[in-house]
Amino acid sequence: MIVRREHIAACALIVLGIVVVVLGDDLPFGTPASPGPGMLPKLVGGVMMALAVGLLLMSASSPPITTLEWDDLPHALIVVVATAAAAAGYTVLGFPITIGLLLFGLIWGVERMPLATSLAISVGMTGATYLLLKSLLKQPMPPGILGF
Amino acid sequence: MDRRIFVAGTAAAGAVLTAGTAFAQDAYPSRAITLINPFPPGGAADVVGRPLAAVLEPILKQPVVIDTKQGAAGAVGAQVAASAKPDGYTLLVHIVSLSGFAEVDRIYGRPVKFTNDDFIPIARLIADPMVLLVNDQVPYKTLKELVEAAKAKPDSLLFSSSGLHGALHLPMALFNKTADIKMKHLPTNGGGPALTALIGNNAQVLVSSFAAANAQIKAGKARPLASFGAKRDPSHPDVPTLKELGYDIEFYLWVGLFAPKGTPTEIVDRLRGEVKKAVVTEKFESAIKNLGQDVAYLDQADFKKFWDADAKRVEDAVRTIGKI
Amino acid sequence: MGTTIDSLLLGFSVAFQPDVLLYAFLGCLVGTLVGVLPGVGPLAGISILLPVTFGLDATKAIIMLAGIYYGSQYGGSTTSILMRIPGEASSVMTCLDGFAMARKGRAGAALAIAAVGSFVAGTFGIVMLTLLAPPLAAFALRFGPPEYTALLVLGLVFLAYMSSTSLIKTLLMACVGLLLGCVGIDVMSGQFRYAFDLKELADGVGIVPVAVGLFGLGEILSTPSRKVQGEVMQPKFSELMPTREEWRQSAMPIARGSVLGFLVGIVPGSAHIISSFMSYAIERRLSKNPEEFGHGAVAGVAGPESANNAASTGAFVPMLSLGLPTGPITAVLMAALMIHGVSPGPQLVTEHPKVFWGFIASMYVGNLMLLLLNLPLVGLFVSVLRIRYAYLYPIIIMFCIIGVYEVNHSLIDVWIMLIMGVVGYFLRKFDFDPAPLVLGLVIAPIFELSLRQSLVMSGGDYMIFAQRPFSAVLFAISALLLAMSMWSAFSKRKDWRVKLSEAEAGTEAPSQK
Repeated sequence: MIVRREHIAACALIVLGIVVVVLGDDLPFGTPASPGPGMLPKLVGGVMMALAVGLLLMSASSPPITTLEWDDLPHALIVVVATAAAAAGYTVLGFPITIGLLLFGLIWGVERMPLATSLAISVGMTGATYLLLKSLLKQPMPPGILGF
Repeated sequence: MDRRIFVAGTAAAGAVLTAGTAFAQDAYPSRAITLINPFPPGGAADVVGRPLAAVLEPILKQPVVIDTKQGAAGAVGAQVAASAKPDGYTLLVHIVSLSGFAEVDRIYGRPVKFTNDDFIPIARLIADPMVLLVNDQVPYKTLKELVEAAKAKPDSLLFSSSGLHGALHLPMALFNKTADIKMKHLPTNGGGPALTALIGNNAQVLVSSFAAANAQIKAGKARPLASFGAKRDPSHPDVPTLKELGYDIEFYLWVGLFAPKGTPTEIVDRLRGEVKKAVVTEKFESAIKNLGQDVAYLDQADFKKFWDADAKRVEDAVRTIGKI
Repeated sequence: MGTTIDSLLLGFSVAFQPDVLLYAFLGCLVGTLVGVLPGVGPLAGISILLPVTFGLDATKAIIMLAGIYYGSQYGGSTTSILMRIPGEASSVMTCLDGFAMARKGRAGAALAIAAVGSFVAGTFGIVMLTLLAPPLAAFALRFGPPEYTALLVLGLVFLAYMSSTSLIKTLLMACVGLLLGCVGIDVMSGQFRYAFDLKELADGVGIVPVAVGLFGLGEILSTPSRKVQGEVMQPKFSELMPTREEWRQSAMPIARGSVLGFLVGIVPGSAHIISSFMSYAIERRLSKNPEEFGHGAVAGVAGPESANNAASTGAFVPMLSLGLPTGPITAVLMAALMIHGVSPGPQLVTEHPKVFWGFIASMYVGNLMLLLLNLPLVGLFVSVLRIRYAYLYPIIIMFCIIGVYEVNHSLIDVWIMLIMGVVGYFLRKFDFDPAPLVLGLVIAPIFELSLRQSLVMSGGDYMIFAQRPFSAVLFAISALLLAMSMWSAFSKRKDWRVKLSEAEAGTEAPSQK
């Protein structure tokens, strides 16, 4: 049997449905006349699993999983890691340091752009955005350990 | 590099640094102060917090910034404030429902994230008595008629609220318990939608603050039957209080200023003094007056006493509602 | 009628005073700014400028603050078209065809059409507000929970036309969205659902973090820079404005979007978000070339953008004629009026005619100002696309982070955005469309609340939906639409969806190696 794209998708959604129903085990279902907090998630979870089974049955025409191209995966992984690092540091280091490092790291470190332009863009964009939001629009930006 | 210059330079830099930290310790506040508003902009805490921030700025000579941390009917903002660094730079503006969160968590068996003890009261700013309203499409002219109708046919009337355990739900629950009547509860997601439900006759009864309902009362769309205050409201002298009618209930929509537990006493005292000055400024008074309310300032000691009594009422109300 | 014109003239005499004009302009300017910056929405803009207005009288204050609100609706589409970041929930649909147009070098046209559509829709809304506010308000009040439920069911029926993927995949995505919408505290029972005791999740998963993650970050994840190197999009200056053909294609969508958006907008509550989704679905259904949608159809920008702007004007109806704050933004505007000593209520127009009519008149002026402000900006914004992708995408990530953080100042939202970015990457790999997911997320909490509110009202009797006239009509329309799509599925061999997949197979065939 050829494993096809839709097989994987349908199985993932069925697993999600099971997770939803199991996690929502303690939520009362209620009655049609007075639905409980568990009714909508369990109903939708059930419908989703049924649809996913339908997708599984109708998936014969979808391309085999082996034809999927993953050449963008390294780039995606780098971006995810960089964004995760920025999210982790956002409220600890504060906006200017975190975002400045994020921009510089991606532009200079990953994209290998010239050092001077990378520095100028990271510092310039971070500073301009920070001033615009903080001073002009008085948005509370996350303060970091340095107090700004 | 000349060694002498180096030493001198280091010493100078050291002196500046020490002076800097010493300066920071002496002169609170040395940077912007954040007031956490746990409700959406335009909500009860926001409309009081913004004028307060505006008058505090020139007094403290530092920016006072409102930071909206809304969510979970005010619990998110309170939790953020409770876990903030107690250095006087993060303060909380909160309302009557602050006392209820811990009790709600206990009832539902959830971990209690914070209690009233996590906050130091600084000042009460306003306290608007709640008012029991019916819309113009029901015939009841007095509270007695409403109670009789509710007794004759339990669960036939609907009351709307700003949400389960919210500031508009708690007083209604207390009243239903004291009057021994049953009404159905229509929770909505805010004070505005709750009032809309009343005016659109999707609910018949609502407990609201006078300020929020004034325009509808004046237009005759909502009829006030009883006030939850200790005395009659000066701008609505013909609305009787619940106490006059024989129900021993008081309930206010109050707004207070809090600091997280552990904030140094000097800073709290400094803030008490400055807030005392701020609330009597003409700018603050007129802003509050325009909201249809009066400044009901209480300093720490009186506010603490009031808050303790109020917390008992709120916890009682939460227990009355129970787990649904 | 005569009195309306007299009153309006009074209003214009207020609105044309030089200092009032200045404050209206300031409001529109700030509104454009907060609209363009993702995350910093009108709510933040208004509450920040609220203290600034303390020194002004009520008329100027409300004119400036309202300018921020409707001004931000103009700017909302900018990042959607240029970077595929939906700054707010209502511009999610603009991401699809707006960004596709930008890919084809038509970013200028998309921005211009969005601006003109917003202007037409905004002006239409104000004319309706001027002439028909009281009866419309009475209509809005009839919209209780049962009618709301019916409206959302209609919104769900439109799902079928939302996406170009197969119906089963569309429905699956909608289910995922509905499930995400269940996260948070249950309003009726107070129970936490799937929130793992995190207070930040108590109000559910935000729409903006999910949409920004799925669309904005997801796009970046699946676009490595070497794929775009060399093909920097450089629109010529002469190509900034829409062609005659593009204008022709957008005229009717703008008209339909205006009417639909206004009607949905006057309904109290947060349903105005679905107006842009419904408009998109309607345009696709009515279009002769539905296969163009998602690949840069002009109507897919014109309709939703107009609907979203008309809805924001419609929201003023219950606020001005009834004094009811039906949504978060009207609530903060009402608070602003109250702080200035004007209590909004049913008697606003009789007690403060100058405030009321000055405000209405200023909206005519403000919409014109916004058009004149936004059209020249098109050239400036489009030049963003001249930036090399290696520089541009880190900046887009920065805006994604700011955008979702500033909505609630919550770090959890940034994590949600990141997770949704990864989900978006895989959805694209597996050929699922994220738009129905977002619609499901929008609809789930309000649908569930209004359904359960209706049942509380009726004591558990479903007949309430048939007894109330508006809800009965809306349910009938839903049933009719369902029947129609069933009919076309059985009668015709090929419905548009089949044609669509054939067309796509045709276009993709040469590229397959």
